[in-house]
Amino acid sequence: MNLQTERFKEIARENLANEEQRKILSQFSLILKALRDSSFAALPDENAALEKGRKIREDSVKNMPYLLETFEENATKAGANVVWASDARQANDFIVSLAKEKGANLCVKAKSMISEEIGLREELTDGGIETYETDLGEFIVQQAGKTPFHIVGPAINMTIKEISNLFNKTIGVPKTEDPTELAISARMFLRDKFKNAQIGISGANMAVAETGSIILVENEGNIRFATSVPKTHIVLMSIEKVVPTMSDATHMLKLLTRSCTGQRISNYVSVITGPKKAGEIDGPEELYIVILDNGRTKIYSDEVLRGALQCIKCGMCAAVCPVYTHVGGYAYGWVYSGPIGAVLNPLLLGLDRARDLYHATTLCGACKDYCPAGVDVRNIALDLRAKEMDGDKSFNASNPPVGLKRLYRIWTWVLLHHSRYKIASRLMRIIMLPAIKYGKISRLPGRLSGWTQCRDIPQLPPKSFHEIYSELKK
Amino acid sequence: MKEVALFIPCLVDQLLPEIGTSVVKIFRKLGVSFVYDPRQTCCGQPLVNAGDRKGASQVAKHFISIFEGSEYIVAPSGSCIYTVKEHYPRLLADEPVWYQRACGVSEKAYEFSQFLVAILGVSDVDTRYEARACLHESCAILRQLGVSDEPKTLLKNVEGLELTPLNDADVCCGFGGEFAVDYPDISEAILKDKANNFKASGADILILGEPGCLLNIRGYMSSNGVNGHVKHIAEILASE
Amino acid sequence: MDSASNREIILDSLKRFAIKPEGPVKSELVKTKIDDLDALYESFAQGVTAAGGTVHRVKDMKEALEALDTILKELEVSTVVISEDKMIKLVGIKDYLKGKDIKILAISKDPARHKKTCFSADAGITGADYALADTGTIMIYHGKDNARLISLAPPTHIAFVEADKLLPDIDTLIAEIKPSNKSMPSAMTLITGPSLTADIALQPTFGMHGPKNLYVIFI
Repeated sequence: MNLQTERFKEIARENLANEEQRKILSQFSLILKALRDSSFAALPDENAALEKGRKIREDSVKNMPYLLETFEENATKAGANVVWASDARQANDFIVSLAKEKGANLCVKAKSMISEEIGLREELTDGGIETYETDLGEFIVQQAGKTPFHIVGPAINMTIKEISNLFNKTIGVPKTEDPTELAISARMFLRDKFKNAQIGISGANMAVAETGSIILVENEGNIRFATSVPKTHIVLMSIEKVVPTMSDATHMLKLLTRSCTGQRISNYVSVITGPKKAGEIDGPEELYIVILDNGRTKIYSDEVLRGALQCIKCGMCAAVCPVYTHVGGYAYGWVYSGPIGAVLNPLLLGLDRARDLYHATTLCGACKDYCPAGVDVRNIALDLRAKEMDGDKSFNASNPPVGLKRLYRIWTWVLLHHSRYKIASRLMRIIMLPAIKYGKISRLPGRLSGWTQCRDIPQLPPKSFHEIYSELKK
Repeated sequence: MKEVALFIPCLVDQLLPEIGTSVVKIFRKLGVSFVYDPRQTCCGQPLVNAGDRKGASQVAKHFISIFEGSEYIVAPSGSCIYTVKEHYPRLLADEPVWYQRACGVSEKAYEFSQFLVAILGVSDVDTRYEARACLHESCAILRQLGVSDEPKTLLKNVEGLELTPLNDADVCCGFGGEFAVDYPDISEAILKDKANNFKASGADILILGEPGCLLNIRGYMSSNGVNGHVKHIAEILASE
Repeated sequence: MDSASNREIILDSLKRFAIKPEGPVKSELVKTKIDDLDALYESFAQGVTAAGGTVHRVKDMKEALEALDTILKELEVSTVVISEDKMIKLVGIKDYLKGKDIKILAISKDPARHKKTCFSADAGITGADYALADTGTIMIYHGKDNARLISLAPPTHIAFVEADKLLPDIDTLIAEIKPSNKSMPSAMTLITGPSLTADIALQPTFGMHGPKNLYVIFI
C-alpha cells in the first residue's frame, strides 16, 4: 500500500478544500452517531455493557499469548491449519505460494484491514492470481486504485456519479445515477467470481479461544460466499483478535455492530469452526488460519501503547473525531484512519514516518468516550510524543526535535522558580509591544504564526494576575 | 471553613487576569477561606502535551511542593486540574515518594465550578447577568473530568441569564494547545463550525470554563468579525 | 517461513509482558426479561421487519405451507432448492410442493453441481435452528442437512422456525448451545434481514450479494 503518512499536512489541506466531500463526511458522521446512540440506548444498561466490553478487551490483550495457545489448540482440533507469520513478507509469501500450490488463478477477498496492512491483494495479483475485493466499498476502492477512506465505509466519500463513471470504465456497465443499479452491476460481476474462485480470503473480527472459532461480521453476504464456495479458505488475523469465550465474543459483537454501523446486529454473522466436516456438501475443504504479528509484539511490550491492540476496528472513533470529520481518511496516509490510525499507523510504521499523525490531535478524548474496546488514544498519543522527544529508537523515533527540546528546557527552568517566571512575563510584554495593533495582536512570528492565521491574541493586559493580586491584597 | 489553595494557570495569569480576579471575588463573596501562593507558576501541561516528560516532572514537583499542604486545590481550568489529577501520578510513577505526594495533590484538585457545586454545595451564587447565553462544554471539563451538570446548575441560577442550547456544545473547539499552532488549517475548520453553531444559537454570549478554549474561540471571533462575547463562567458569576 | 519457530518467538515475547487476568469478565448486566411468547414474537417480528425481512406467524404446519405458497406465488418463483433439515421434513414441504407448479432442484452431493443448483434457483428454503427476539435474528447450523449456499445464493431465502426455538437474545442462545470445540458446527450463521449494503452514498440497497428477500415463517 502506498505510504503517504509523511504528507499529512498537505493531504489534509487538499481535503479540507473539498467542500463536497466535507458535506458527505459530516452527514455520514451525523447519521452514524445518531444510529449508534439509539442502538446503544436499546441495551438494558448501555454503560455497564460498554464497561464490560472494555474489560473483556483489556483482559484479552493482557492474556493474549495464553489465549492464542488455546485458540490454536481448538482450531487445530476442528481441522484448521494454524500458521504463524512474523511479518508482512512472510504472510504474503505463504499465502501466495499456498494459492499457487492449489493451482488457483482466481481469489475472492472479504474486507480485511490486516490484508490492506500487508498489501496482500497486490501480492496475489503480482503472483498471477486474479484477486477481487468483494465488499462493495472495497471493490469500488480497488477499481478506483485508491485507499480506503474510512475503516468501515471505504468509499463513503465518493459520489454516485464518480462511482458510475468508474464502473463504466472498469467493468463496462452503462452509466446510471441509481445506486441500486450500480450495486447490482457489482453483484453480477462478483457473483461470477464467487462461483469460480478457488481461494477465499477473509480476516477475522474475532477469534474465540474456547472453541477455535472465527467470527466474521458483515451485511452484504460476500464473506459468506468467500468462506463457503472456494475449496480453500484462508483466514488472515493479527494476534490481538483473540477473545476468551464465545460469550465474550457475542458481547463484543453487540458493541461492535452498534459502533460500526449503528446496527443492533449486522445482517450476517458467521461463526466458522474448522473446514467443512465429512458429508457436508459446501464449505471449504481446507481452512488455513494465518496468525500474524507484523510489529505487534513490540507494541505489546509497552504497557500503555499496547492499549492500541484492544481496538476492534469499528471505526466509531473517526465519526466523533473533530480532526477526522474535517480532513477525512486520506490524510492518515495508510491503512488505518481516524484516531486509531493516528496512533496505530505510527506504532506499526515507526514514529519518524508518521510524526504528524499523533501530533494532529486536539486531545479532546471523544474517541475514548465512544470506544467500545477501551482504547485511550489520547494517552497513547501523548506517550508517542514523549517517545519522540526522548528519541526512543525502539519505535524508530530517531530524530528528536533538538531545537524544541532546548526551548522546553529553558521553559522548564523558567517555570521552576517564580522570580524567573515573573521576569519572563515582563520580558514577554516588552517583546510583544511592537506586534500590538489596535488593542490586539494579529500576527505572531515563526511557528506561532499558526495561531494568528485565523485568530487574534488579546492585547497583553498591563499587569498579570500575580501583580494585580498583590495589590488587591493590600 | 476549608482552606483552599487557589491555582491561577499561566494563561490566566498572563493573558486573562480578569478570570482570576473574578474567582477571588466569588470566593470572598462566598466566604471561602483561600490562599494564593505567589510562588506558583504553571502546572506543566504544555510540557506534558509536547512529550517533555522530564521537564513536566520537574514542574510537577515544584507544583506539588507548593500546593500539597492545602486541603483543596482549585483552578478556573479543567485541563490544568486534569494535568494535576491524572498526569502527575503517571509522570512520577517511578519515584515512590514523589508518587505518593502526587497522588496526594491529585485527590484534592478541583475545577472551579466543580468545587463550588460538589464540594461547597453552592448552586446559586446570587448574581445577576442580563444576556442570552449558551455554554460550550470544554473537553477537559466534560470528558476528562466528567464535569457537566455543575456549570449548568450555576448558570441556571444566574438572574437574567437566558441559557439557549448550543448545537454540538460537547464537540471540541479545535484548540488542543500546540495543535492550534501547528495545524492551523484543521483547527480553523473546526473553529468555524463552533462559531457557526454559536451564530445559529442566537445567543450573544458564549460561556465556557477553559481558558484555552476561550482564547481560541474569542480570537477567532474577533479576527473573523463574528459578533458576540466569549466569557469564562467565573466572569459571569462574579458580576454584581 | 518456519511457522513453528515464528510461533515460539511470538508467544515467548508476548509472555514476557502478559498478565493473567483474575478470572472471566463478570458483570451484573441487566437481562432483558421477557418470557411471554407474544411479547418475544412481537420483538422478533419487529427486528426482522426493521432489517428489511418479512415474517409470517402461523398456527400450524398447514398454515405454514399456505404461507409458503403465497410467498412463492407472489414472487413468481419457479425453481427452489430445499435443505434437508428436520424442520423441512417436519413441515413436509417437499411433498406439498410436488403437486405444485414449482420445480424442486435436487440437492447434489457433488459440490460443483450443488453450486450450480444454488446459484440458479429462484428461492432457497431452509429451516432455522433458533430465532432471537431482541434483534430479529435467525440462526442456522450448517451441516450435512443444511448446506450453506441454499440460504445464500438464491435471490430469496425462506426460513421456517418453530416457536419453541425463539430465545430472548444472543446471550440466551450461547447459554443454550454451550459452545465448545466439539459442539460447534463447521459454520453457523446468524441472519438478520436480507443482504444489505450502504456503501454507495449511504443509500441502502438490498440483495447486494446474498438474498434480496428474506421471509421467516414462524410456526
